[in-house]
Amino acid sequence: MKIYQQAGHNTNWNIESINRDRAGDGIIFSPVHYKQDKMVNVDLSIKRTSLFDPQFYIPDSQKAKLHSYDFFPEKITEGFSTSNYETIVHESAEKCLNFQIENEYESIIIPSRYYSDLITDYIDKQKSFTVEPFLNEINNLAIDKEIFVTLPITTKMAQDKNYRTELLNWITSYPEINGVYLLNETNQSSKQIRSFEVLNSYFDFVTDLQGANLKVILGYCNTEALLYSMLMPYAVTVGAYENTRNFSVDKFLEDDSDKRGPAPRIYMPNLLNWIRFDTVKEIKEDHPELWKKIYIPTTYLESIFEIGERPTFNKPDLYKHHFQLIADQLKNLSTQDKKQRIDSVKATIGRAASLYEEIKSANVMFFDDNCDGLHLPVWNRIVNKASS
Amino acid sequence: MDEAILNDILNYVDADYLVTSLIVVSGQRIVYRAKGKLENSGEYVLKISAVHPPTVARIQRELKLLDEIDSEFFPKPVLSKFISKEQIQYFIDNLDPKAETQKIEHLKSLKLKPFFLTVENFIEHTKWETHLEVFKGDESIFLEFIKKVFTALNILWEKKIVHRDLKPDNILISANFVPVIIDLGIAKSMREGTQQITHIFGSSPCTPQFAAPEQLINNKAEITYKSDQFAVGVIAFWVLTGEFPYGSIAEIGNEDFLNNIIQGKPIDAKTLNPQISDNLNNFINRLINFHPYKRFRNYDEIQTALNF
Repeated sequence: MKIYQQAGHNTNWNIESINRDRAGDGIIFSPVHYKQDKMVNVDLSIKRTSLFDPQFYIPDSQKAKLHSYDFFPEKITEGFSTSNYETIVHESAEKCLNFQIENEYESIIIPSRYYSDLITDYIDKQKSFTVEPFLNEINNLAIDKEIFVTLPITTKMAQDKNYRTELLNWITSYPEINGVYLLNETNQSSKQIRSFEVLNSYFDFVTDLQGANLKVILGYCNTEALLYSMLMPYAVTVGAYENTRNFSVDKFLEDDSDKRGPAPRIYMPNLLNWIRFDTVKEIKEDHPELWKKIYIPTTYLESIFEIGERPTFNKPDLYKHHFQLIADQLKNLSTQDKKQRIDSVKATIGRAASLYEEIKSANVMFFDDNCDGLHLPVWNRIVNKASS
Repeated sequence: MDEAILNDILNYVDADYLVTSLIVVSGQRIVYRAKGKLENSGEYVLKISAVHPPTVARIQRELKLLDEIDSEFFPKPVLSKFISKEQIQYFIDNLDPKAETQKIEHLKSLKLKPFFLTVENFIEHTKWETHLEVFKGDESIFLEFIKKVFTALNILWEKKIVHRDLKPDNILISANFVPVIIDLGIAKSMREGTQQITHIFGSSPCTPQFAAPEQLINNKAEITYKSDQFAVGVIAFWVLTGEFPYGSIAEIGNEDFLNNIIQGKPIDAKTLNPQISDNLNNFINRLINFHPYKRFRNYDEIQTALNF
């Protein structure tokens, strides 16, 4: 199982984390956050183990960095419309593929478009928008790298039996592809997935894709990447900001003006969750015995504690700490067989649940329920189902 | 048109073939066995088809495809010719009005219409029925045969072509159990942007007994090379059990047959023939799965699955 860092704002954090901490095998680069000239200058040793997601999800996105790529639909058509893009899609595909080849990314990603609704012509649209023109150009260019087709779905799509079957029938009908870069827009209001149905439908979908011998890259994972490891996927991702840990097209739509960020949170692997800095500080200072059980130190978090001030949400150390610890958890799982992974994840959930009990017994109150272990019962049920 | 008249016309248009017997009349097409005029020039299959634009377009596409394929698994076309109304008229005009008065009158009374002529090599083959016992008795022989069928089909699939009408009649068994796939007339291109030629008798041409569910319900988006896998699965099931996995249309009728398919629960071949190995049974079950995504995703997977 590969571990990719899902790049977002401050891609240099991902690059540093890979270079210094070996936190993951590579990066899935995000052009909406990284201009072409910078992308070209990334060291080849990083790019060779990384992927480039062309991000055609919103083809008429006005985000300036996307426009630095001459193959992006809005850019190449000088004003996107489906009909004018159709006339130029082969040129766009050729340029996009050549970019991926010239930059020596590990594999090729075929982009596709995002649709939020269960539209009846989803497949026809994806076929003509990019998938088949790109496959055609891949054939023309005699590209011999592994090919992954981007498949952005919503939970509704995964849960609707007929829709899901149609998607599976379609995406498994290309013998020339090696896998799927799967993105699931879950639209959860909580920071961790707490819905059994959401996770279960996704598990079933991934299982069926893999049953058709497709490699699956599970994009935009949060902590549930640990659960996904039980599916023995080709790859999972880890990300810094929340918009790299939960797929949404907002980042292709929103303006770049300064926004207020969330309260700073710290990833606590033993709790399988991100906890507000204020609570972390409280446990560390007021319950040192409990802190020893919860805390896994990294130089990044130690440096925050040394400074002693409440960090802002965009402090890189918060995320480098996360990368390092979750990558370690995933790396550890990746060496195990399926049964061992299930046992490991089950044990981790059990340990997290009992630590939460201890936190509550110590009368520590969370500032919001996202810090609580409310996702653990559902995760535990998923593990039980996987082991049955 | 009788064989003598056809031979006269062939002679008139300088086609070096002589029709020797009728093989079959099938829809818009009449198929003859023929031989070359030159000594030892071999035997051929000669087909004449009415000039109906979709029919001719289908035939021309089939010829183009066969021309591109150089394989023992497919017949090789050697001639195609459009015999126009004028040519037929000139053929009659060139007969001797004194010596051949009766013949001329007869030909005029026939009101001969233009036709499309194709000639391909005759494939020496034997009927499936003569091999059923061998196939059932020696699984390894049958497996080798099935492997060759898929090797042949992969030639089409790599060209993004789906045969769409595989059945025993369209897979000839030549010497040493080499399959030869014929009748690509309704093959469909999966190439991006390709226009389909609509068949005159229906929107999804096929032979229902062997057709995949997506063909029967005319779900065009899902008719792919996996539909061919389904047909081969049905053929294999029939060879090994004498039955069809979702029932025989002749016995239960269209409605019950369709219901069986939609329920997606085929008969277990092992209940009909306990000699079938589990591996082969599993292989066939995957081919005849109702859902295309549960069939094999590519040729390599099929060959790997057959190596048991």
